[in-house]
Amino acid sequence: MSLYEQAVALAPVDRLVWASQWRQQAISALQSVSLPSARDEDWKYTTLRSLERAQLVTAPRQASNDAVSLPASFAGRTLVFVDGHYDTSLSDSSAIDDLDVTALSAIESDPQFDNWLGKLPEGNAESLATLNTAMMTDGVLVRVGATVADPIAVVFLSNGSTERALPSSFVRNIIQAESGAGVSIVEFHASATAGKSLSHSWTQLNVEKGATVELSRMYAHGEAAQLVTRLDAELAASSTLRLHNLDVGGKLTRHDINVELKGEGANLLIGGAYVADGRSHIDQHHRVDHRVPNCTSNDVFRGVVAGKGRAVFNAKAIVHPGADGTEAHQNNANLMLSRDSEVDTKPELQIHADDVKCSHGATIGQLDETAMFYLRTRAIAEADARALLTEGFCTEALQTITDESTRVWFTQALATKLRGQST
Amino acid sequence: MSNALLKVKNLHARADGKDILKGLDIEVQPGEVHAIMGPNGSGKSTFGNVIAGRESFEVTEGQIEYLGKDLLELSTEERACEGIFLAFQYPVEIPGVNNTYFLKTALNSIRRYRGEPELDSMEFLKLVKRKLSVLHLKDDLLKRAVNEGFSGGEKKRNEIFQMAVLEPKLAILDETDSGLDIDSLKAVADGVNRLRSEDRAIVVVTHYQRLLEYIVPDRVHVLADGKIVRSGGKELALQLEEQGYGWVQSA
Repeated sequence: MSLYEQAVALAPVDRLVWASQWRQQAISALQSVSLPSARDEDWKYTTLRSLERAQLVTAPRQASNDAVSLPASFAGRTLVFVDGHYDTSLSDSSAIDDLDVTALSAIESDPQFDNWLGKLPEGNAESLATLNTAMMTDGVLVRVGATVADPIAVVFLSNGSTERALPSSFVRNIIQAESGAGVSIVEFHASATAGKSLSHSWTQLNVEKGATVELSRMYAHGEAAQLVTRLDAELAASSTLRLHNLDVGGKLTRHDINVELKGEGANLLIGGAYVADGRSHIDQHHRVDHRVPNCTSNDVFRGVVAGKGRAVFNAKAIVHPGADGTEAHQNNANLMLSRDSEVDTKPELQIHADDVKCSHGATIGQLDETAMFYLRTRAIAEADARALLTEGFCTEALQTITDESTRVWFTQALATKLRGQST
Repeated sequence: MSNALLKVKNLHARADGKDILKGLDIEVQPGEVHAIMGPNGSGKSTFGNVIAGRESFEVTEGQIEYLGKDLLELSTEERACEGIFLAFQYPVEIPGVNNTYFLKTALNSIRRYRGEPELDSMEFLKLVKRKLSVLHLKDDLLKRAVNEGFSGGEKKRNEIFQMAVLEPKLAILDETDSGLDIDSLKAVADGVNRLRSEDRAIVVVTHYQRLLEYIVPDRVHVLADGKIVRSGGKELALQLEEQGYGWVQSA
């Protein structure tokens, strides 16, 4: 079935009825696009070919409390979505009552979201974003006008299946930080039950003048899960976005992160870590557009590949004409723990302005033999020594998470993954 | 019958395809401090690495008996659990790994091996704070990553600090004096002297006699071309200082 046929069969037309116009527009747009292929430059290393023959179905929308495995130390409110639907029983009741934070499905009158939901990127490379608008069932809306003290966690759980049909879910999140506001949000994506699944999530983010958003995203799905995400952010003058990504699960993961620096003095940090082991494939595609002068962007990723794991890192910063005084840096460092693993890394800079400070670098290395020996002379067993070194290597890219309970959560999840990691 | 802690017989070892140790013999009793002195390239560092079990050094001949056991049968970490400690000439920087966490993992590995209960964070912190004050080290050392951004002196003092926490039976100090100014040298020597005890042996590997003014050895050995060519009391170190290594090598 084509994407169009799938959407016609499955689109939840009774959901988010105020968005029907955009849903219909997306469905009809799917008539003229297909899944991205290796011919699309941005999809050179990652194939979604298995989706071509898959029959998408909706998933059961049920999960037990145990599946929401947030650490007790996490200090924030929690909203839980199961298979793309808001789950009141698993969420903090206080979270939904708050005007700042709500599920899209709880919105009744038309919220005038044309700017968000009407945005349809064109072409095969973006066809899953179009599919998202056609198929979206729910998501979170965070709209803050002041500084919010505690972090907010949004949990997305997916049920897996061993049947032929592929359970799928499509969520859309909108985050708007108004002038001078500050908020820290966690997106936690995981499997509720084992088996194959397809989860697509699209987060749109608007950081207005002087606002600060910290968005930390963790993906910890089971080993048969497929995951495609997209993030679009716009940063106004003197605003700050700190975005972190941690990938510790899944069979196939693809992240597209697009950030537009539109106001002078905006600051962007994209940091993160990934562990691609077993047969997992993790693809990071970042694009940062410096449109105006005196903005900074830093993209710092650490990765570990082991087993038959494969990691792709392609980060592009474009400094447009007139964006003088830009500072843009990209760094991707990888540890390769096995012969059968693979890393394809390509940090890119396109500079069309003067007086800029830009750098990019990528490394792929192995564990240091002397460091391994040093740890073992301190009675630390070989496997633990390896875990400690890889953990130390990756964890640096998560230290820039400023919310402490989030940082502790993420670094511990990374440590747990690396200690149980299959080589 | 000797009750030697360490008994090395006719030890031959190679690394990178080159024979380095060519029949080394040494015996160390509990409570003793030995110094192994020798010119560059004589095999001093190889000795420490082989005792600690570095896999890139291959033992081609000879025996090492430690506490009556065949040391060559044990992995690096088992040797550490059995009480062997190597203070590195160049302590390794490990970014992202917190010093406290690292040391707690190390100590608890040893305690687990010995069937002792592991220490929790509070108990461990109490222990390390006591050891820090004895070595005149600052608390902030605990919060930093292992050796990262440490000065040469801090790295060497951190090695001795680790030794104080892990309480080995046999400590080998590999050129612990190299790159130290006189104040750091004294601090390191003072730390080592506080760790001298009846059931702990220390082997100081050094090029210069200087450190031995502060850590006074019971026995001094001269290593040349992979063999001990002369052994004696502490006065041997002074004699070497005056007459140079040429004197023993030609002997």
